[in-house]
Amino acid sequence: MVLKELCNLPGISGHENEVRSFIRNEISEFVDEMKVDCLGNLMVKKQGHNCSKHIMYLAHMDEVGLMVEKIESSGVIKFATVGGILPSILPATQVKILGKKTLQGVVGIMPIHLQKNGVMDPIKMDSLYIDVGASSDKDLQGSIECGDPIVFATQYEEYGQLLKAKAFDDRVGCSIMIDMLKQNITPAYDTWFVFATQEEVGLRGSATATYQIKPDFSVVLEGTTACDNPLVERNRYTTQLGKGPAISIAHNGFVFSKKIFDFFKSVAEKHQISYQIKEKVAGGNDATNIGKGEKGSYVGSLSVPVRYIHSPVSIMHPDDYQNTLQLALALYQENQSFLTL
Amino acid sequence: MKDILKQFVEISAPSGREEPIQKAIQSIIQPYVDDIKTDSLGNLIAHKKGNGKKLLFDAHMDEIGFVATYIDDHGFVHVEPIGGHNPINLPFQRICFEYGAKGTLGFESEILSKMNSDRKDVSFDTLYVDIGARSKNEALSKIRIGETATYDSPFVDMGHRYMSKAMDDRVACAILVKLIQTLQTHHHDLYFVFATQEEVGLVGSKASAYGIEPDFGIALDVTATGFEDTPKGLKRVPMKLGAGPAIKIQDRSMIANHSLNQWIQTIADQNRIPTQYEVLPFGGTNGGVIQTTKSGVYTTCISIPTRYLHSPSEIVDVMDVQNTYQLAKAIAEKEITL
Repeated sequence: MVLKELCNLPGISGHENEVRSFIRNEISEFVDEMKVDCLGNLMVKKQGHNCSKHIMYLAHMDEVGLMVEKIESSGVIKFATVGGILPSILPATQVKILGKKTLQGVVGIMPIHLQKNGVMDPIKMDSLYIDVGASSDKDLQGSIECGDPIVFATQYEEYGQLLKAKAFDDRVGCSIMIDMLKQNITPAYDTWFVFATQEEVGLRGSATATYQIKPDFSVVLEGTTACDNPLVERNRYTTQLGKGPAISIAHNGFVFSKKIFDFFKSVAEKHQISYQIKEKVAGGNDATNIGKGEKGSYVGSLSVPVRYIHSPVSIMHPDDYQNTLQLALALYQENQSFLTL
Repeated sequence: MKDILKQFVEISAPSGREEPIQKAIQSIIQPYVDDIKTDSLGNLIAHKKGNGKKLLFDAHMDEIGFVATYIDDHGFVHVEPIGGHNPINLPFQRICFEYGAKGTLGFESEILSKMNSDRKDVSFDTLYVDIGARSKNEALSKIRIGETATYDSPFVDMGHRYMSKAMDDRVACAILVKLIQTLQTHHHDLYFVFATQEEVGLVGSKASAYGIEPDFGIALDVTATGFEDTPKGLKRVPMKLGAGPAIKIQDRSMIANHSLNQWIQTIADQNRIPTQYEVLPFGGTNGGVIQTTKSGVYTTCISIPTRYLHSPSEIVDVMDVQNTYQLAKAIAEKEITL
């Protein structure tokens, strides 16, 4: 498992190159063909026994993060969000700015002593800035500029039974696909593994990958929202840590086919892999694009539950990783039975 | 057409679970078309061969609905929306699940005097479905997680008007079915798509239009009515019941092709079919994805004015339904010249 290495790498949408290079090195000896398209998708092929159908597994390499917008004359940095991030979770977050030089920074915050009643007003992007310890914009000339990506400075850690890192969404999917490839199984049909770009800003990489591969059957591997928090009512959990991969019924802009939903459940049950059903339809992922791409195709989505997703630090359960990997492998070996239904 | 319409609207088939309506339509139209197939998204695609250019008629089969995601310890079912619901309309509506379980959307306030203000904030986090189960196990014996539901609201013939759930867009399905049954001569290579998953984001049509690559596309869908139609109708929305099919000028998904609209208007005038124009400041139809297929398609939408959209009680006018059918038939019989 290379989850630790993947999560620690920087790769906001549109800047996935370090993640891509790492994955390339990990898998190159296990694949029959490898290419990178102009959107930066890394697409690798496992030759199957039969080339009459195309199977696709897809996970996205990009993570949510920030981007330098403007360097103020005072030396503080105004920034934009890349992907969905609540401004109110950002104050006091430690970040890394990846310009010509890499700078450490902190998102500035008004001290509690100076806030009215000690309660912050709702935080808007206008009031946020990054402090890199510079005293004027001249200090920063030649090291960073507008457009440079910014990532959360969180490092991967195991603690108790759980894992903690940034970017589980969706390095967990990438790591599972790498583990699948390392098993070096020859599939029934030609199978493409796509490490996609720019999911967080609008499912972009998967659109061009789908056009090129024209899959008949696809599985999207994702990290998804877990809200299994004791302060939240049970009916709002969405998914729970430790209960296995979440199979989606429907999400934003797409309803999964009943055939796919039933097939995923039946494979999990046959292989005695614990799974759960995603209980909310909020949010979406690359499956939407794949399902309606070109003439349309069968697609399903398997997700590892992740708490505090789209924040500087998220939490997941290693058992969910293993069970998602097992179910993905089981589907990899059984998709023939779906396609000949 | 009333019988077909009644049959279609009473079928429960939300987005992604269109098989029951797809089968009903397929069994009726099969003898009247040269070729018929379904694709991986569940679209039903029928072909009446012709020598001319490709003309695509599109109506969506799906309706808005619900999906069961969690059953609590007391046997109440928690559901998520499929398609665009306004939760404030939902308390105490009846719904019916795929395998027959019926229930009502329960809604409560712990303090009686707060009922009205709480109702403003009603959401799928606070609504639940009471299917009459006395325990979690009893509920699990009646429905399964992942099972879908739709409004339990049958067809009513009101004389000059019809009322039901799912007029959106089964009324257009019924019109196209009758068109397929009655069309004698035509100059185009005709495709009829009964599309899936329109309500969640124009999903099915995007794929079917890509496969067909039509020269002309006409979506048939419903549209809202406004201030000229009902006592507190939407301002800036001119459409009304009984004034004929509405030729789409624009909505949020598309600015319809002007030349095609002008040609359709000419055909309507020649056949003395009343029409109105539609400008909708919200919403979209499958026309939006047909228009941008591959290198582009001359596309418009003909809409059946409908009151109380996305409610269990959508109302259409009988003459509008007839006239929309007449207009679609007149279009199919002529050769489009732009």
